[in-house]
Amino acid sequence: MRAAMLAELPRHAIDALRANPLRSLLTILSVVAGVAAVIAMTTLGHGVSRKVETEINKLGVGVLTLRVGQRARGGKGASIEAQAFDYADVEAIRSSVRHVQSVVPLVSRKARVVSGRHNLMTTLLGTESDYFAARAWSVAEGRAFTAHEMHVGAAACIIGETIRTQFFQGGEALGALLRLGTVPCTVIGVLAPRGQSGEEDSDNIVAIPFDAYQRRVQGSPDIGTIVVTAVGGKVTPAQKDALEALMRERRRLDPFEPSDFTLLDMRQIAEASAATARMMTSLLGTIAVLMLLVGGLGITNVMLVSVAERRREIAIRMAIGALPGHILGQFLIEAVALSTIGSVFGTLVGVGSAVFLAPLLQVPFVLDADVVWVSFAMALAIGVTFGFAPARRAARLDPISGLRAA
Amino acid sequence: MTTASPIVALRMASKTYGRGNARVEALKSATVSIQPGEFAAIVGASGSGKSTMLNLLGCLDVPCSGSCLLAGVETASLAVDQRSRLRRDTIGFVFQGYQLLERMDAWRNVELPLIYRGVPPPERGRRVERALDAVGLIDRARHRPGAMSGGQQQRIAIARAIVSEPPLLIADEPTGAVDAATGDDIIDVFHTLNRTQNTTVVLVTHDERIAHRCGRMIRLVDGRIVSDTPTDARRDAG
Ligand SMILES: Nc1ncnc2c1ncn2[C@@H]1O[C@H](COP(=O)(O)OP(=O)(O)OP(=O)(O)O)[C@@H](O)[C@H]1O
Ligand SMILES: [Mg+2]
Repeated sequence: MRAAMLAELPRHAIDALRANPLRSLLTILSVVAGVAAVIAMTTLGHGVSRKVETEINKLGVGVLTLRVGQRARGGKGASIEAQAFDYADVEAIRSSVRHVQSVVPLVSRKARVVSGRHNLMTTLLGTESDYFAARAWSVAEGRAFTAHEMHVGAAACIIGETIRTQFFQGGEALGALLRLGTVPCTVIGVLAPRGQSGEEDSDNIVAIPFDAYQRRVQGSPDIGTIVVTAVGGKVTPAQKDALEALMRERRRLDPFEPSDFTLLDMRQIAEASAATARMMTSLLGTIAVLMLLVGGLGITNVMLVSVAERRREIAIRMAIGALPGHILGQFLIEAVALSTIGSVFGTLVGVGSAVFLAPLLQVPFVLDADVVWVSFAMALAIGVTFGFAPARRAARLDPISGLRAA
Repeated sequence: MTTASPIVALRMASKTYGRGNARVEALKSATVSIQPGEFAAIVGASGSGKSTMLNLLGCLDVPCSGSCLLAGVETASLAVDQRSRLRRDTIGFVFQGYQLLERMDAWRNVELPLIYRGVPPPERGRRVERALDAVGLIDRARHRPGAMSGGQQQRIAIARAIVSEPPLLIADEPTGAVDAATGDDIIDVFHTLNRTQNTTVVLVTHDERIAHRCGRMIRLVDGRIVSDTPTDARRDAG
C-alpha cells in the first residue's frame, strides 16, 4: 500500500523542482561546491598520506643519524664549534652499542662530474654499501661496493638516475668512466630513481667508497655524519641513550656541558612530518565541511521559501487526503533530489579539481573507490538533515490558512 | 427523519477568528446533525459563516468551543495525524474556487486522492476514469487546469472529490462560477451519487433555486443558524 505512494513521490518532487528551475539550479550549485570541496580534499588527503608514506620509506625508519655540531638554542649564532667524528667513532659504535645492524660513515660535498664534453654539478657522497640499505635505496643496475673495494678505496662509483640520463641517455652506463672533480671513477652501479625531495633532486648523486673519498677528495679523516640502523628496524630509547653516552664519553664532555653533536631519529622526523600532513589535511577537511554546511543551509533556505510559496498546494494536498507523513516525505524527497543532483556533479568537479591540484601540491593523485559511497552518503545526509526543518514546517501547516493563501 | 447516528454533527459549536478589535465570531453556537444519506444545502449571505461551518463539518478545522462529531468521533480530541486520517477516510472536498494543482493535468489532479489512500495503479486508473466520466470531462483528462474554463475546472474539482467514493461529500459553492445549466448538471451528479451510493452531501450555495433542489436547507445569518427546514425536493422524494 505504501509502495504505491513511495513510487509516486519522486515524480512530484521533480515536478516541483522543474517549476522553479533557476532556484533549483542555484541550490544545486551550492551543494556542488560543498561536495566538490569535500571530495577534492579527501582525494588530496589520500595523496598526502601516500606521499608521506613514500617519504618515510625513503628516509628509512629505524635509522639514527649522528651529526657533528648542535644547533644553537634560540637561533642566536651559528652551530657551536665542534670537533668532527672519525672512523674510530664508527668502530666504537659497532663494538659497544647493542643490536645495531649497520654503522656507516657519510661524507659529502658538491662536486663537478665530467664525461667527455658533458659536465654537471652533483652531490658527491663517500660512504659504504650499507648506506643504501639504511635508506631503503636499491641498486637497480649493477651492484654496490664490495668489501674489497671499500677496504682499498677503489675508484668505483654508483650513480643516481639523473646522472645516468644526463650522461648516458639510453646507452650503457656500467663500466663507463666518469671524472669527479679530479678523480676518475668507473661506474659499477645505478641507483633506483627516487624523484624530487622538496626542492632537491634526490637522483642527482654520485657515491664512491668512503676510503676513496677520504684520501682523494677530502684529504683528512674527518667524518660529518654517521648513520646507524637498528636490528629489527626499530631504534629503542636505550640504544639512543647508549649512543649519546658513548659519544659524550669519547668526546670527553663534562656532565653539565651540552652535547656538541646531534642525534636525529629518522622515525621521529618522519612522524612529525606525517603529523603535519595530517593536520593540513584535517584543516582543509574542516574548510570543506564548512562549505558543505553552507551548501546544506542553501537547501534549507530554498526549501523554506518553497514551503512558504506553496502553502496553498500543501493545504490542498492535506484537504484531499495527504497525511502529515506524506507531506513530510514529499519535501524531504525534494531536498534529497536537490542534494543528490548536487552531489553527483560535486563529485565529478571534486575529482576533477583533485586531478588538477595534485601536481601543483606535489602529491600523487590517489582515487579511492569509496568516494562514490562517501558522496552518496553525503547527498542523503545533507538532503535529510537540511531538508528536515522545512519539510516538518510543511507537514505542520494548518490547511485552512493555507487554502486562504491565494 | 431517521434516528440513526449522524455522520456528522455540531453541538453548540462556535468559531472565532482574530483578537481584540479584529475579533470575528464567524459561527455562533451552531447545532446541527446530518444523517447518512442526507442531501443538505447551507445558504446565507456572504460572510455569514457558511465556509466556516463547512470547514468544521469537513474536519479541516475544529471549533473553539462546543463539539463536532464526525463518524462518531470528537474531532477536537484527535491528534493532527489522526484527524488527517479521519478526514481522508470519510470526506471528499470541493472547495470554493476549485483549488486544483496547476502543475498537473486533470487526470493527475483527480488521481491524487487515490495515491494518498494507497490505491494501486490499475485500480486507480479505473476509478479516475469513472470519476471523470461522471462529470463528463473524460476527453479533457490531459489538459491542465489553466487550459480549461471555470465550469470545467469546477467539474474536475468535483471529480477529485468523488473519486475516493467518500461517505460524506462537502462542497463549498460548487455552482458559484458556472451558468445555470452547468449548475444543474453538477447538482445532477451529486443527486446521482446520493441516490446510487447513499453518499451524504452537504453543499453551500447562494442560489435559492439550487437550494430548493436539495432535501434540506440550513440558513445562516451572521454566524447563527436561523432556520433548518426540509424542502419541497425532500417532500417530493418522501
Ligand atoms: N481565517 C480567518 N481569519 C479571520 N477571519 C476569518 C477567517 N475566516 C473567516 N473569517 C471571517 O469569518 C466570517 C465568516 O467567513 P466565511 O468564510 O465563513 O463566510 P462565508 O459565509 O463563506 O462567505 P462567502 O459567501 O463570501 O464565502 C467573515 O467575516 C470572515 O471575514
Ligand atoms: Mg465561503
